[in-house]
Amino acid sequence: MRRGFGRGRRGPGLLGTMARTAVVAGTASAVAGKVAAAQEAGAAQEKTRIQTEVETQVADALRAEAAAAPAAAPSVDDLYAQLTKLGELRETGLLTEAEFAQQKARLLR
Amino acid sequence: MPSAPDAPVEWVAITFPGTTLGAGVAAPLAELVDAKTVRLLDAAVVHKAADGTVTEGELADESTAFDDVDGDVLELLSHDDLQAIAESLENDTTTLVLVWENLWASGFADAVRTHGGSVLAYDRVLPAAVAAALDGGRS
Repeated sequence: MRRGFGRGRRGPGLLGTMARTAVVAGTASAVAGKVAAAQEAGAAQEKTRIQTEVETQVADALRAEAAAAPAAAPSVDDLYAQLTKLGELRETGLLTEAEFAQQKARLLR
Repeated sequence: MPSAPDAPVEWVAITFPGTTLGAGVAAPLAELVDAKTVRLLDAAVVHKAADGTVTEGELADESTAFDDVDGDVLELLSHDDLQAIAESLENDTTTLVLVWENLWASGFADAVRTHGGSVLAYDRVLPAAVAAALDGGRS
């Protein structure tokens, strides 16, 4: 394995603050073998899961772009696609207004 | 610099009892990488002692068994990520956390995008859950 930057693990991370709770909960149930709990994946978990995916993708994309091409501007198309996806998630009720605003701000910062 | 991932990226935590990683997983992991099934983007180690004390480590410092596994340690996983993962670990365990890009899905992901589709959601299902669903369908 090639060591990356040696700057320490001080970045924003991949899991995202909101997702972390869900991830830990999911991991905990997997570790404990609580299959029943996993099967009861309701709307709330579905929402968290999709949100986790979006956050992860966003973090990945931003990080990868920064790592791969420091001089290149973020792709407008990618940003547009992410914003569109966020809008869809809000419209379908998977994201609340506040969550939408948070994610949007994260995209545009 | 590594190129940006264009296939799905996921993280996985593989935990072992005791204070060392299972060195025997290194060779099978290398096979996944060499076959371009996955590309490794990060690796970290989390120790949780018998008294619950959590310490973080880097794979290169923990074991020489993984020296021949090709991949990058981009430090994508943050300290907070590892601490969050550690919360759900059992005491007296050693856990390898990997971030990998699912290169095997790259072609299909391209096709989905090309044809105007997008991945709305995906998830892992425990084999036991599948078995339970099969049983439920028969009874």
